[in-house]
Amino acid sequence: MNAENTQAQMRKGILEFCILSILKKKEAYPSEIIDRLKSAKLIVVEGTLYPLLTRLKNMELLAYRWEESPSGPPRKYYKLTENGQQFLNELNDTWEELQIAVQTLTK
Amino acid sequence: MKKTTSIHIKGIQFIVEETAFETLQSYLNRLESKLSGTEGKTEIIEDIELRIAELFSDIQAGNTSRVIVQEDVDTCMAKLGEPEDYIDGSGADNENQSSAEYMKEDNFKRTDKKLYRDVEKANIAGVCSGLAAYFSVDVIIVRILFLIILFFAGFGLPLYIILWIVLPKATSHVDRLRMQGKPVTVENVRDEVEMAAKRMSEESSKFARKINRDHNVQQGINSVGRVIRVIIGLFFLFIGTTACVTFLIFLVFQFNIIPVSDANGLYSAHQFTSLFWENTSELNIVWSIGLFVTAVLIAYVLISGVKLVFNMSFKWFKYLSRTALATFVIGVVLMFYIGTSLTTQFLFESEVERTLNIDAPALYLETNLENNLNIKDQKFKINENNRFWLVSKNGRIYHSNYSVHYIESKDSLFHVTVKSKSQGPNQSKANKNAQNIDFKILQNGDTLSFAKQYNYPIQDKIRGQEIELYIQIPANKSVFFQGKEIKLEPDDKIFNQVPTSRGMVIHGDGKIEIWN
Repeated sequence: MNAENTQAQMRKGILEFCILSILKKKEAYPSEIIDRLKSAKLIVVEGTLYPLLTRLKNMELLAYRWEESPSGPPRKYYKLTENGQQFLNELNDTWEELQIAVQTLTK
Repeated sequence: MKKTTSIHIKGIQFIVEETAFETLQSYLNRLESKLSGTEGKTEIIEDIELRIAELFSDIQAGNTSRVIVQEDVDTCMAKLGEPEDYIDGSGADNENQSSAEYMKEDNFKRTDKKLYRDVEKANIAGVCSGLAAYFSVDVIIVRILFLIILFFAGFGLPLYIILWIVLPKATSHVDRLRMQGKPVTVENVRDEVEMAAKRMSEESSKFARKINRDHNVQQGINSVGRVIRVIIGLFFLFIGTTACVTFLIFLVFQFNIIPVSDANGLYSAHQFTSLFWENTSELNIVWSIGLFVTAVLIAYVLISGVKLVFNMSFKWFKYLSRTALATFVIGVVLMFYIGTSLTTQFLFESEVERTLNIDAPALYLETNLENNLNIKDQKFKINENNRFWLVSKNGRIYHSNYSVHYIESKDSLFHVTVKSKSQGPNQSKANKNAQNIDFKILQNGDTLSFAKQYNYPIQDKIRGQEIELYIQIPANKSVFFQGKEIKLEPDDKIFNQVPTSRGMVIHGDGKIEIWN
């Protein structure tokens, strides 16, 4: 269906932005990120996260470190790099542009 | 009873029911095949496995001998989702559709194309970028046109500033659509929003390229524009380096090149200007500002050259352009100020006369008065015959050119009139300047000796001080200048510049006679 495609596109575009925003304040490991997204009612399927994280890391927007966990496997703690910070700022600008546009049109 | 298998993920062991294990295995296989060809595949799989391990650990809740059963695996799969749902089939992830293609869209119905300033692609304030979008031409062409107007018609700069103030920034998407001339239909805006969402994920690939030191960030450049850019860039670099080198030499070495001789030799430019400028501390400020403006403008030209030739883009270039523009304006204001300051010093004129009356059968003129100035002392001399236009020594300025005019006397006496002329900012200063001019004449019977140069105090500054000698010759009498006889004939005009003792006579019938 037409709407689904577009909807998926919209969510996909936004997801990166959200992940970077979550990591802006402090580092987090994947399930933390998932929980945050879930509480904001954004993510539907967890698996979506992992390819994205890896991609962002390969672009040097994120970096991670390992930490042993008391109750389970070791965790990857992701954090924003400087490039990532810059990138996030640019996304922020685009996001604001979009908000204004959408608001104007959906009046 | 069920069979179990032992697995481990990152060193953590889990005992899994066999059927559950198969489900898990096939999930991971599906994942792997969906990811084939994707960059970072191994890591993604690793991350997902880690998540699975985490979920399993949570299920165990501390009890490490709790077996992972089918329901557990099903729950995990449900949480994670099907690989099909979250892995893109192509793996290339829309990187293919570039924004250049987006720009080439054919639905360019030019309804309601508005003129905005394109702040994103701006150099200074986006005026030229906005104009370029409006007319659909490459930005560089608009910039060139603007510069031509600036230099040859004189109103480019005010025009730019007016446009800067008047034209609105293209901030919202609606604006950007209008700027490019696309109709603002819901469809178009939805497309814009979609495109923007796509752009955000595209930003990543573009950004990656940026990080990988690919500086080609411009979209949809046409090759003509590129060639023009490079040519202009090279031109800027050439001008910039020449100017820079000259400037540095001038600044660092402070060459004394001006032929105003002093006890120490030639003057530097700064010293020379201090002969004109009334207030020395003010002059220093003017020089500092002038040098600063020149330095900034040279730097700007050089950086622009580099930017154009190598097609680089600097985030801060906008601010540099604005600074350069402001400095340029300061420079113009400064020049205006210099112009008015100097001309006000020359507003008023004054003339002071003294006359010697000589009763003698003939008059002899010599120019061999001793000066307290011995040219041979100077370190720099161009050659014997060339005098310096002006010489500065002992707190006075010496000029060695004054004019001598011969005219008829109304009676039988010789009259020698010395006119001292000068200018100044007001009448009384002009008068004082004229009075301060020192030009000695020694009279010895029928012989007059006068100085080779006239002089005035250096504090008076150069204010157009000059000396004119008028020598009235009675009829039938003669003046002898350095031994040569000068006899007035009707309609003769004689113009004589004394120090070189060269003379020229223009006779009434147009004949010109020159003696050395």
